[in-house]
Amino acid sequence: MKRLIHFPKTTLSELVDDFGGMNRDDAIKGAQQELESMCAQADQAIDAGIAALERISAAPDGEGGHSPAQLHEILVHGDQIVTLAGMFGHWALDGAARCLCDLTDGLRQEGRSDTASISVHVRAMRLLAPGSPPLPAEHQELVLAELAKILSHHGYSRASDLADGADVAA
Amino acid sequence: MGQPRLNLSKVHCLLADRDQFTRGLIAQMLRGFGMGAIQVAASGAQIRDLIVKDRPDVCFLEGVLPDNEASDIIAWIRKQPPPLRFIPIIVMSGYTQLRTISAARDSGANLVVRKPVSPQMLFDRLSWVAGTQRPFIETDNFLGPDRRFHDIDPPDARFKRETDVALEKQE
Repeated sequence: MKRLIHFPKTTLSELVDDFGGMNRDDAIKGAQQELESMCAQADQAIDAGIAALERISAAPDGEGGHSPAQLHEILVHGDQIVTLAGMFGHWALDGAARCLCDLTDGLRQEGRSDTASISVHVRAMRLLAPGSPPLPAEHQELVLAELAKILSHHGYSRASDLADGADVAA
Repeated sequence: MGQPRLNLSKVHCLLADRDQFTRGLIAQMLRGFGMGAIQVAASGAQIRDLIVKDRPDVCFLEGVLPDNEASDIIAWIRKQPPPLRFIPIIVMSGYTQLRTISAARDSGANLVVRKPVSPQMLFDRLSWVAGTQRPFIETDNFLGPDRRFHDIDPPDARFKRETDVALEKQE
């Protein structure tokens, strides 16, 4: 079997060592300022994502529920909301969106649909969205606990259980 | 250990994510780090085109793109003639893509991170990729950075501060 080992010096490692640049604290501060400037746009994108989910949730076009294409669409929007909610610290919404993704992924893999379960998740996400009246923390936890019950009722696993191993070097 | 310092002003990166807004957010973070040039792509076809034409110094790829999985694109990059094949590649996995991570690892990614990415996480992972020399392995069924860690700490073991731990717990 062929086996070669190279020790390449990449252009990235050469360039970053040039004189100047930023230390970690300054770089992170700069990035956070850039992010903060996009906070309002992120809230709008979250709102648009939830609106898209509401439309799909209300109009299942498959036999007995949402079609595989719709489930895929739900996953795409749900994934984007997880990313944005996590980046901007909307932790409760992040939890609800993850739960929706886990549910939808489970349904898709089993070739099933459950309109009611999806609809409950989407409504919970609207309740927890940045533009909605703020819920007390204990109410948010209650909502998330109820969503978790739906997931365990279906017996689906959480993708976040795989997350501990995800953020590692390849 | 002193703070890592990176000069990204001359670094040219390729950033690919299917979602335009997410691309914009990550690009803003990279600009905040002082990244010199950022090119964006939304599909595997665009990535292939830009890699050959512009030869970026580092790539950030979403785990699944509309026309390709990152693993297919990485496998293609790793088969390009040197030095193109050695480009550092960081894969950003969306929540629903976590189940496909092993494919990205096995196709020769330098690092896989999960979204949402924070500025702390992104800086530390980039710093780790730039500052860690890993042998590049070429066998019949694998082309990419050595996946084993003998003498090198994986990125989580470095640069971590109490504030970062708190942030990551929230994630």
